[in-house]
Amino acid sequence: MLTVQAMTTYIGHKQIIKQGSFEVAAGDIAGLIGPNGAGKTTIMKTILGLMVFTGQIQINHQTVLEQDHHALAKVGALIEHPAIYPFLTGWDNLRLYAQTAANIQTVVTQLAMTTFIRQKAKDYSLGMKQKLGIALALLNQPELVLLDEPMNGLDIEATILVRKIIKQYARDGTTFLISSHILGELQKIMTDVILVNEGRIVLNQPIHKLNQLRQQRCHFVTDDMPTTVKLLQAQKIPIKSVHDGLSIDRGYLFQVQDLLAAHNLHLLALSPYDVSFEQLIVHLLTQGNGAGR
Amino acid sequence: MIINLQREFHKFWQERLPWYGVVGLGLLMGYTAITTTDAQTLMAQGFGIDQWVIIILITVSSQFLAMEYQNHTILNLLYRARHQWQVYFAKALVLISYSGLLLCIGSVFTFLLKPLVIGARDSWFTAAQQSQTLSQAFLLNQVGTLVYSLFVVTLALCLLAIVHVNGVVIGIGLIVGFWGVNISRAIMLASSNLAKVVAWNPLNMINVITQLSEPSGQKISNLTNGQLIGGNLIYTALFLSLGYICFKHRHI
Repeated sequence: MLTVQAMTTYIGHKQIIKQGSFEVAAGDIAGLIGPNGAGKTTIMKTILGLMVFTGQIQINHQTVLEQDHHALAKVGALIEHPAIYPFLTGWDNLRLYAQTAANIQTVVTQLAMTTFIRQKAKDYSLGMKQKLGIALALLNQPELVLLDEPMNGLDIEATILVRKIIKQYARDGTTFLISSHILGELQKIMTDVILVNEGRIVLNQPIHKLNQLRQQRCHFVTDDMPTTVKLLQAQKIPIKSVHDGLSIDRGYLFQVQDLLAAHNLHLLALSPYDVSFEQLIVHLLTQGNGAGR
Repeated sequence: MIINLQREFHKFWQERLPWYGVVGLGLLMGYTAITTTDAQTLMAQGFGIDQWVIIILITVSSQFLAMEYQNHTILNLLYRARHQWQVYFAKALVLISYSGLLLCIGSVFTFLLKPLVIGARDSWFTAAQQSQTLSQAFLLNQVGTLVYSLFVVTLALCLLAIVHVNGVVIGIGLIVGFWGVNISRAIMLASSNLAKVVAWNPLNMINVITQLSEPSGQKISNLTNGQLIGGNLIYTALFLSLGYICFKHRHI
């Protein structure tokens, strides 16, 4: 649905995104993850044809150009701040871009905005503005939605509601590209992960593959830990101290078990060791650019 | 383009500033009526419409583009438009039509103020100068102001696209509007050998407001009426193009 190939984005002569390539299929929810200044927002702005870039961006096989935004006809976006005119009511803000009044009513009802939609937007709270920004992005049944930090300013109830709506739209075929600092929030909805660091796409994988990476280590405890450590170090098996035991890559599991048995050491505990999502992301970011698809 | 124009018109009239512009014009014309004693000048110049419309236009034009950046709506506006130029040109068209409307409203105010301030002393059909009646002089001044408003609107948009600071644009606009003629005259005097060339400087273009009804103004501007109108149109095209290029390349 969204195909980005060898995209290099410039501000002046400086390359902000370097040869970025990734794909998001129809109905997928891709999480755009990376540290501050990695280039997440720039990627979104480039997809919207608002930056100088080389390479190719296609939405439903239509090419996005800086000069021609025809391919963006069915794209909704919330980038950085909700794009709201404070002197208009929420309804009028939506009406500026709505194809029909029914489209406005749909998003207003979905996002539970009925009580305040006729008020001037200047009187809105942060959360109300954010909801209106999301409503603008979801207007007119878009095929692709770009959301930059969509949960900013939302309370728990609204966050759950927005999460539910995103899933519902995705089930109906809308593709999402979402960036968020709240990894836990993204983790609950995304089907794909696009990891960005220093303007490069470090990784583009389905979340289930990433989850496999999280479970690639084992945790174990023996009846003589100091001897075990010395033994494994002598055999050059990479180990990490975890709580009261050690963790190893799953690939070494049988070799370690054989070694322990040969040296009369006994396992007291053996379990899969799940790295948290945050830990995995940090690990992948520090590992660098070698893990692309 | 039509959709972009509809959006811009809707936003424009939902904002308070254009309405304040209309009210301000009425008040400022009232102020001119009180402080100026020459009845014929008052009538020919429409109680200062030309001067006040230009100042109002600079302020409203600059704010009309600046608010898109202040409200973070520029990004939405740009990506939803099929072509970026449509956004910029739609704004310029809205502002140009606003200048026409201001002149019409100013004319109505003039016709209302005339019997209140001047009474029956001078008629609209009184000969003013160069065998023109006051009504003819008034109309020619309006045409001149309309031509110059093209210059002013495109200049304000262009300046905002370049300097990005609303206050600076209004400041520069006011300098051009208030002291432009004097600065231009000083430049031409200082370079009398090149007066014919220097006469094409942008500050000199403001003379179109008064010169159409006052042919003697040609001695001041060093340009004929046709040249002044042409110069204003050329500068309008130049500011529009330059402003669009800067607008397009402005990082958002």
